[in-house]
Amino acid sequence: MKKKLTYTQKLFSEFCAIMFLLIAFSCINRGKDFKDIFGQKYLEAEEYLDNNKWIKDSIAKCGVDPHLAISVVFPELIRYSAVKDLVETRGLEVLYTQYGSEYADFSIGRFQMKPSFANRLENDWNLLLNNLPLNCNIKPFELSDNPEARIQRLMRLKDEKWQVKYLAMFLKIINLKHKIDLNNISFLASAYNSGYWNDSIAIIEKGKRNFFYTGLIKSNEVYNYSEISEYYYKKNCRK
Amino acid sequence: MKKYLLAFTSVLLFSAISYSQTPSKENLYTLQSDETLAYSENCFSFSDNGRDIFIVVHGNNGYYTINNGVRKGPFKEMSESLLKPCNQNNNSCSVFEPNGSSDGVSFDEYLKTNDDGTSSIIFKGKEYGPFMALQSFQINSSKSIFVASTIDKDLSKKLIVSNGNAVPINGMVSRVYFSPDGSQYLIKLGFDYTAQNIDPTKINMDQLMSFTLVTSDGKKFGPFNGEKITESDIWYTQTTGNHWFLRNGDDLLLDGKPFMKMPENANRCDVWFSADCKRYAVTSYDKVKFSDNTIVPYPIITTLFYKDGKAYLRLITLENEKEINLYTKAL
Repeated sequence: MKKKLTYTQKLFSEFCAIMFLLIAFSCINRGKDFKDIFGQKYLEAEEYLDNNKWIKDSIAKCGVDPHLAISVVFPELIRYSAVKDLVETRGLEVLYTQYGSEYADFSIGRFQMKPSFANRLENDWNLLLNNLPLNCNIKPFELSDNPEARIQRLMRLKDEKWQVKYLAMFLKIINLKHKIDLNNISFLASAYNSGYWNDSIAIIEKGKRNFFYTGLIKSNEVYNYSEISEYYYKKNCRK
Repeated sequence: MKKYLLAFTSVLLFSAISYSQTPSKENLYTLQSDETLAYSENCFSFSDNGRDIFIVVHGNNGYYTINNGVRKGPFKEMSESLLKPCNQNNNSCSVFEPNGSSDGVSFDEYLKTNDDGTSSIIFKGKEYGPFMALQSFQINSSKSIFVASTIDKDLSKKLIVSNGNAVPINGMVSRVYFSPDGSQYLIKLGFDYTAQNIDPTKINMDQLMSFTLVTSDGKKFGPFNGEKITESDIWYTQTTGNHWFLRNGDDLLLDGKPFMKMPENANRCDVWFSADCKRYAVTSYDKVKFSDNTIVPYPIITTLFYKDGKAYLRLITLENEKEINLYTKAL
């Protein structure tokens, strides 16, 4: 009996050791070291999150895993750090108000969300609102395509609290739309970056391509958006 | 009596007409039928005088740059080298911000620590002090005036100004606002945690958060609620000289006195006053509205410029999706 117990214990401890190694291995980043590649911009993005703990709290209140949500937008935080002093969007905001997103669709704020992205989220939110267990106290949106509605959308997009709400909405909607494993960070990141309204195959396909850059204009130095999200997710998975 | 009334009305009407001029309009460029403004993450580059224009458009064959009417291209792809640097246009905000968002200047250049542990200020070759301690030191953007708060040996606090003034103060200097020419200033005095005889059991939150304002000519205003009125609710503007503004909820105060309601949905950058503060314009996404009810719709760029000492707003618009027009109107 004693021998049997010892054997079971041994098996258990081996299993634990393997599990530990597996978990540890999943937290070790292989491939590119994006923290090193992006340097100061990466650190600024991390610092912003450290100084704004309310973001994770707000996301969690909507029933979304904050770590997952932050990982999805982390590449955008890096980009924002790089371009924030170069971009003056006021003129584009006016053009969007005047003519709509077909004329001017541009990235706003830390999470680099576009008006067309927000508009799609609002449409889907109104459609899916009744199927969501937690609605984060977000009421149905006014969807008219007129200057007044566009101004309201712009004001939401420029408000950090609303940016976080849009992010939580994105994760809830994509879960309902694509019925995917919510731990599939690569898919989520690609969907955020390339358009969650596309079909799954297109999202997966686009996730393999490198078109993330930190300048104003696309250069030869391009990276894979999903890889950066995954890198951040794994690097911070024990925090 | 009727005569006087008529004369008074005529004067009013005349002054109203003389300022309610329609803005002048000039076409800067007309987009060709296949062209749209290239907007992807770029900004439009217009010089401060509002006449030089550099834009990027996308046509059937690629990208084109248009620099003061000279069209170059097509370029298959945009590259940074094709773009003009897009400077942040400080004129697009009416607020006077001397050094970006901060007035602060390092102490080191002006501070001297004496052998006995006291401090002195050395400014333009003149020595001020010694003081037992220096609590704050702020200087205007042209570095011609400083304002410092000091503690003397008898623990009394004073405001020392480079013109030689030394004013006793009762509070902690949290911010000094300098007027655009630096000749006037406004000091925000908060609760003094270092003051003697403080009984912590008798201090409430309102006291801790409250502040007063002291002008360079010694006038005091307040106390104000520091939770409701933050540092950005107090400002000088680019166009109104030594007049200062304070926003208290919906109310706008001019030089510390009730003035007008803050225009709806406007932030402080959006309200442009004439030098005498009698006329103004409010910018928003869908229009610029002047106080004489003139409206210019959808201004892409708003810039301020001066001609013969008078302030004008220059507004660039895109009309009918093709005409890039420039409107000019005096404030």
